[in-house]
Amino acid sequence: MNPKRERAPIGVTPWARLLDQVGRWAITVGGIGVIAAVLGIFVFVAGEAWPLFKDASIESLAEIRLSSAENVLATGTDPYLEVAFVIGERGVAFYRVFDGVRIETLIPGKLGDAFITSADRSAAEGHVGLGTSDGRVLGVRVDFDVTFSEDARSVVPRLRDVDEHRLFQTAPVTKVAYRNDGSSVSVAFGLNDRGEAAYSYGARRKSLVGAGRFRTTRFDLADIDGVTSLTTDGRRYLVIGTEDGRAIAWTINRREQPTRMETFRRSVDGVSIRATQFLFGDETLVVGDDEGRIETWIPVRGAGTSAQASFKPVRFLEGGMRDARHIAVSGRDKQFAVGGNSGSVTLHHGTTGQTFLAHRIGDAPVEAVAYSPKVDALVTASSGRIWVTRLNNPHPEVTLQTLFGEVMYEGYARPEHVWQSSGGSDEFEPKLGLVPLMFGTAKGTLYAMLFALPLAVLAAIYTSEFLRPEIRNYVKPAVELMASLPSVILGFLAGLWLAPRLESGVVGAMLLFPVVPLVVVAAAWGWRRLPRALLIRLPDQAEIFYLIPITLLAGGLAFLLGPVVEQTVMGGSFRDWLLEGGTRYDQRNCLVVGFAMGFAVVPIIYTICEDALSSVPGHLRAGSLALGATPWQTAIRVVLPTASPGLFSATMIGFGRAVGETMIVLMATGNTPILDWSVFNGMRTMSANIAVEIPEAPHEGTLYRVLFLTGLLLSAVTFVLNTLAEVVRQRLRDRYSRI
Amino acid sequence: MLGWRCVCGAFVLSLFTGFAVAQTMQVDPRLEPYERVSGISGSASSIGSDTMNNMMALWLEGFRKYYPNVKIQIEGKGSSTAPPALIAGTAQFGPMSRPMKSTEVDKFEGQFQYPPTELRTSLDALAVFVHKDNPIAALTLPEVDAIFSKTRKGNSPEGITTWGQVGLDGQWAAAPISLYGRNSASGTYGFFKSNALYKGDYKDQVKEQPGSASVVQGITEDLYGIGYSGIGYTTSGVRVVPLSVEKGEPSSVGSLADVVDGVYPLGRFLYLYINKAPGKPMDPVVREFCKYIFSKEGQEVVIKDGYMPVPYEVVSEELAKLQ
Repeated sequence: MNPKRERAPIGVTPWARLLDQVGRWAITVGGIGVIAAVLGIFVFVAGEAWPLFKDASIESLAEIRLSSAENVLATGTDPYLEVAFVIGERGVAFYRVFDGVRIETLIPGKLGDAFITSADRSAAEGHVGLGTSDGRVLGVRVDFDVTFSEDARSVVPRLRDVDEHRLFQTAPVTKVAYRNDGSSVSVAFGLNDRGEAAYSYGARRKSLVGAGRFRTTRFDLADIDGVTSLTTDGRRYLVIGTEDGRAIAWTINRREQPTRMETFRRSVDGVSIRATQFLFGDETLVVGDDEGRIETWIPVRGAGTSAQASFKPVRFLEGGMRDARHIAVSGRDKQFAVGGNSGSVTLHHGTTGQTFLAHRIGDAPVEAVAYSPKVDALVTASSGRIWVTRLNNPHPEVTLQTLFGEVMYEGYARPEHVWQSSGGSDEFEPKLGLVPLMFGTAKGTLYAMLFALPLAVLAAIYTSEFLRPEIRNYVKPAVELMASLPSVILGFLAGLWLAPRLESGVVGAMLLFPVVPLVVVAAAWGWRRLPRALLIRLPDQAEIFYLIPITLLAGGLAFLLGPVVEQTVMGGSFRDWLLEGGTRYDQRNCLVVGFAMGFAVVPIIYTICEDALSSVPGHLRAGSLALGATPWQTAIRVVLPTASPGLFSATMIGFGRAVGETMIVLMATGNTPILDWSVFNGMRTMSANIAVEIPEAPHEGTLYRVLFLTGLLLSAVTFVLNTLAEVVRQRLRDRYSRI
Repeated sequence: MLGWRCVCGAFVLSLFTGFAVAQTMQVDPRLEPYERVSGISGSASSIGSDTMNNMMALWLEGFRKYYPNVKIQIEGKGSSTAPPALIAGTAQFGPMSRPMKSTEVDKFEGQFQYPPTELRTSLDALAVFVHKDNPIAALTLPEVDAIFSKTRKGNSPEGITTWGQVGLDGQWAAAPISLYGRNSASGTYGFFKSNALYKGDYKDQVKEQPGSASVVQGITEDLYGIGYSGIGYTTSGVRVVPLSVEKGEPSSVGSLADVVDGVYPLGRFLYLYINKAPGKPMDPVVREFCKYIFSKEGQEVVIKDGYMPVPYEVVSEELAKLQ
């Protein structure tokens, strides 16, 4: 339009105009910078969390032609994927992965003239059980001596004899399960060509010096036929699968005769079970059958006092295969791979029940399949070759279902929401259910707001509408000073000082809520009864000096009444009384958090509310009063609605602060991830959880990314809340701006 | 007056039970005294176990008597903070109250191509603490499991939630047990989980405290409280509960002999992890500090801090790793 309009008014110097321009630019750049920074953080956090949901992928590393055409009983690699090995009837043959050259073949020292007829390498730390043609099970260890020189690493395979079990007099061991706990106990469970099964328990006497003597005890398992697969967890169970599709368990207890439990899996149309295996940690049992069905079972403790556990079906996985013959377990987590006669291998996870991918080797049957020690590769043997495949699946334990749904975890009686992210050992099944954390955040916020909101809003109304300006000028800064208290201090005081005191006087503290308002109302009524002559002579707002001692006295009265009520109504102990009603009292509870967080939130809400109320134009008040309304009516009907956009945003900002508050909840609650609304126990909020666990989370590990995901959720929640609040505030403001 | 006497009595008693062990304990006479070498100065830092925080500080104090120019920063937030710090290179020492998990070793190897070096510096016993006025005589490990665990892998028939269930009467019979524990970053958390809970899961009601001292503090203030921490954190406000492996076995409060023999079920090594490239010379400060730990003086510091020294056999194995 007319360019002359943009000219500054006459009398403005060029210097001022320049400043004006620079200022405008600086503000624009700053504003855009802020938006960019916030977006950048959002993108970064989302980028850290995103790989959790990436699909698994594989990449072929090597295909090695074996030098002898014998049947492969088991296979595997070293930790660095430099050497692969296969176990055949003559021993263990080692091949270099990068060029497929055979390095050497090692023969177990105790093999003698016999040859190997079966192998099980599901035990930890390289332990392998070898069934022999003369009825023995040899425990050996496939080890790799790693030496470093300058920049090169050299890996030398070793085969060490560990122990020996005799299962049968002469008959060959056609199937074997072997476990060694790495220190003193090993068990072997085997089947011979006549269909007889035997179990042997061996233990080394513990001794600080020397190896100690190894002694075995052997048992026959009677009354079974048609056994097609067997396994053991080495401590509690022997499990067999049969030709007609049943699975039967025995309980074992060291040197005692195994006792037969129920047949936990009934026949499914007479389809044979082909593979049974315990996942890493020996809690979940995987069963695979001839039609490609894969199931997981978990021993669950019986209800009530019976300590006897029974196997319960957990998941049925769709592998999409025609049969499931070999199950390989990961030695790091709950992953497993299933190989079949159709020449394909599928990868699964026990906790999530997910099938990651199917990997086809060829048409020939898979003879053996195994994970590398670091679970970064898969070795598959079939028709005289082995394939080494690199696996890229860094976060197998996370799906939307495990994050937000109820999950049936090992050792639990039913599917539950659980957060328990780390354990002391690798066998630990991470439980990354976010629901308890989201619940904790909601619970903490709710109780903080219940405490803070009425207090702050009512105080703001009182100060702005009824208090004399001279007093208000002291009160407002004093309340604002509260906001300057670091929340660590508040948390510390709440956790270590307030919590134990509140515990002893909890009934008194609860009585504050009815007693104080009642006494104050009664006192106000009493004030009105005072002789009119006296009231007129008192200075304006003298009631405040009357109410302060009354309130204090009422508080004291509540605490005095506490023990009396506890004695008469609750039979002497509040804790026991509560427990009878089914609620337990925890010292670190929501009452403490409500007080402490309220303390942090009150000043924020109060200040903004007070500002909003004070900025209501004076002519509205004057008009209302002039029309005959009382100060109370004016405050409630005129000032409050006009200031409502401000009150609303004050609430939302206080809410945001409570959602994100970290240190107070961290220190004043026990960080207990429970799902219970009771005010008498604690919670674990998302923000406190991040603070507690981020130092221990391995960089770019699953826990690390899940914590970032909770961070993303938190910011999403505040983003949505703030946007909503802003929209509502704008609407309210439009509505009242006409006044 | 009476109250004071009680407190004093409890204090003396706990001093006695806590340090009776310490007074009779001596380092292995075969250990060599530390010999100063010249030209050691510089700085290093240590990130890891909270349990070993004091001991690291005391070692540093002793070490600096030989080398006043050496500065070592010590930070203790939990054993699980050690591996990330070693990998990132922000720390040269990673004290841990549990052995590294193989996933952590994998991450380290991914960065450096060789595994970290593990040194067993001392022995510790994890203690189960109760309030000083708690009359409980002893607990078995399956009972501890039933108190702390919701999965109860110790095969207890039912969970224990009140003190009456472990045989206390009077006001204690109906009193609910209030549980205290460490945060999941700590090795103590993991060790207790593996050994006292038989690798089971903690109850959700266990209040997680950021440090060993605040577990003890929490129990001091909570009459019905029970919790676990390193035995070195015993104070006058709490009492160590004698533990036995199973019903009928002898119970023990965790003396050196009992820990070595396995009578006390919660004994463990305390580790120091370092990043030592094979075949390359070590940083002299790190090398000398480790040698100091395994000297007579270093092991005396262990006793001074309320832990137990390692036997000579272990020392010579660890010194060989530093070569």
